[in-house]
Amino acid sequence: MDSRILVKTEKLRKYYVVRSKILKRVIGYVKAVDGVDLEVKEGETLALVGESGSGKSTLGLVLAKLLKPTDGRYIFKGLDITWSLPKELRSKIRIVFQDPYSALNPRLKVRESVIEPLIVQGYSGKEAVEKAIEYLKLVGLNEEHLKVYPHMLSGGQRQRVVIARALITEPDFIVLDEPTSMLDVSTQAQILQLLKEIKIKRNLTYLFITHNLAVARFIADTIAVMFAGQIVEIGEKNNVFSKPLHPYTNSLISAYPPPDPEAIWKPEIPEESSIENTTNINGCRYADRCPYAKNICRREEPPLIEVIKGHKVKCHLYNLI
Amino acid sequence: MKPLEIKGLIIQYYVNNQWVDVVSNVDLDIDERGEILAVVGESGCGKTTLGLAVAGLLPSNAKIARGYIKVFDKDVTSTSNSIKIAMIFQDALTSLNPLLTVGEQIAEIDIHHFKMSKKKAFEEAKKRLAEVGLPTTFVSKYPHELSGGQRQRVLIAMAIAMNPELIVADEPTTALDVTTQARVLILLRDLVKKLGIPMIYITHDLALASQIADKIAVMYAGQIVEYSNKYSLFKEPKHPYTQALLSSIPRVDVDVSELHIIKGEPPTPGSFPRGCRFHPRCPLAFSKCFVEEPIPRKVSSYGYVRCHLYG
Repeated sequence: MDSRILVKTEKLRKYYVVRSKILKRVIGYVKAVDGVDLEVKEGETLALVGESGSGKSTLGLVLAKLLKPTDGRYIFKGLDITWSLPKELRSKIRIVFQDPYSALNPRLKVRESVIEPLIVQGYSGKEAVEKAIEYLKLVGLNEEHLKVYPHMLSGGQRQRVVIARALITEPDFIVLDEPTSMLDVSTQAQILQLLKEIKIKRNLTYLFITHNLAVARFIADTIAVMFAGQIVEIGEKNNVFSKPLHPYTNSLISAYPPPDPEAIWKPEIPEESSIENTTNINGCRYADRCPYAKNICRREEPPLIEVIKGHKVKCHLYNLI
Repeated sequence: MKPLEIKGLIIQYYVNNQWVDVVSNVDLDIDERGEILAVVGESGCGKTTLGLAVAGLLPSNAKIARGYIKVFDKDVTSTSNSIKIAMIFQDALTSLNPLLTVGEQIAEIDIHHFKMSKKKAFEEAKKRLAEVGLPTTFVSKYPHELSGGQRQRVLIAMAIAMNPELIVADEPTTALDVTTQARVLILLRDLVKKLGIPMIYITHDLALASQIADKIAVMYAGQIVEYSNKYSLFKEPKHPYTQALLSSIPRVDVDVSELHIIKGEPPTPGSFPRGCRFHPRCPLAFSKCFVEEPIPRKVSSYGYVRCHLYG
């Protein structure tokens, strides 16, 4: 089965150094990603969900090879690429960002933006343009769009251009960092549906980062819930949604209003506390917010336990709750 | 005397040397104190402009070209009437003064509106904070010391402090995390109900509207296309746009394998299509829709739908 695993991380860490104001001495670390073990199978969509500050975007940047980790291992297609990325793999990992307005250079026509990755690879201009047309069609645009500047496009069209640019190098793995959170409901539906179709057509593997659990439930096969730099729950989506094991997952799901006036919305949300300062915590990171926390939770960090096959949780009390 | 009555409202903006319709022929009302009306729509549909107009905060390049907005029978555009309307904006950080403490900002309202002494106003401010679930010690904190959710609570406290006749809330929680959003919204809903303040709640999120509001108005291209109580709107959406919107939202409570797609993109002010404004994207459009603009048709005691399929 191991051969089918495309992306694998072991104890992946990314710490940001915090320095004092004047002397610039190191006074601490922000543990944005703190010991993440993850496996993404070929053809799978893994949704990484969590609130702002949970470290999900940092993990995305590390997996997109745009940020060097502090520690740990990152294995892609069986190769250790933690510290260096072989040239032939560079085009195989791509990223799509949240904001389609800042992802495209306003001074370049769509044509230049889309063919750029191919020119870098040594394609001739003519070949590159032909391929650009093919990919624009794949994302629901056409040849005409080559000639326009980004400001002439709507948000949805821009995101399509960004997706075409990511796809044009024929990648295997795409990190999608909140690709629809700035779009309207109707445009979001179009882009989500498009991403789902392209994935099957092109045999892609996605890491889909989102704060929106409903979007995650639609797009993903597997859900990983991140809290304070760690994965606290991971599993097949229907298992996670129908039987969440971690109290944090439970509170996240309950926070969503059901789109039905007759359903009763009863969020189970513990009181607010900051998750930003996690420098000196020994126990479970969620203990301060957790309504069920016991002594052991503040003393010892829980391991990631496999409860049923493929469904893991990082909680001491999962079978008591 | 209705808490809110909007009739035949047209709002125009002056852009590129001409007046452009942003809100066209809107009729809306709030029937009783404590009722919440949600205005739902995508960006550019005119919902924010509508909210600003109700609050009397239209920018200088905009005007009410026709129709009226009345709050308890007083016209909001007339300067001779003093109407107390509170507005809660999306971005709590820019709505608060960074140089004043939370207490000073809440007390200011009592000092100015009710000519209260400074000391008494501070005592009142503490009460307001408690009402929105914040510790009273927060009076001496500055906005930057608070989290997003706490700031939004301060805004709610300020909105209530002036004892308003109407609250206009424009996406007050979109910048917040879901768990914070849930807490702040439920607080706002329950406070408004308890104090009997009518509220317009502007949002792009139909699911939120279903939990917060009593009535929902769906807005598209400057018009209200459907207006109804929330139960019938969700049970039997009449307008094709409402139907499409409802089936294009991903859900957290049930597994959806395919989302309904509304083709194309919403039109922008100045380029609204002729006939029914939704016809280029409507799967059910027929010849009449291309040429004739549908008028609102009554579907229940107060609701209406703007669609040729119903008449």
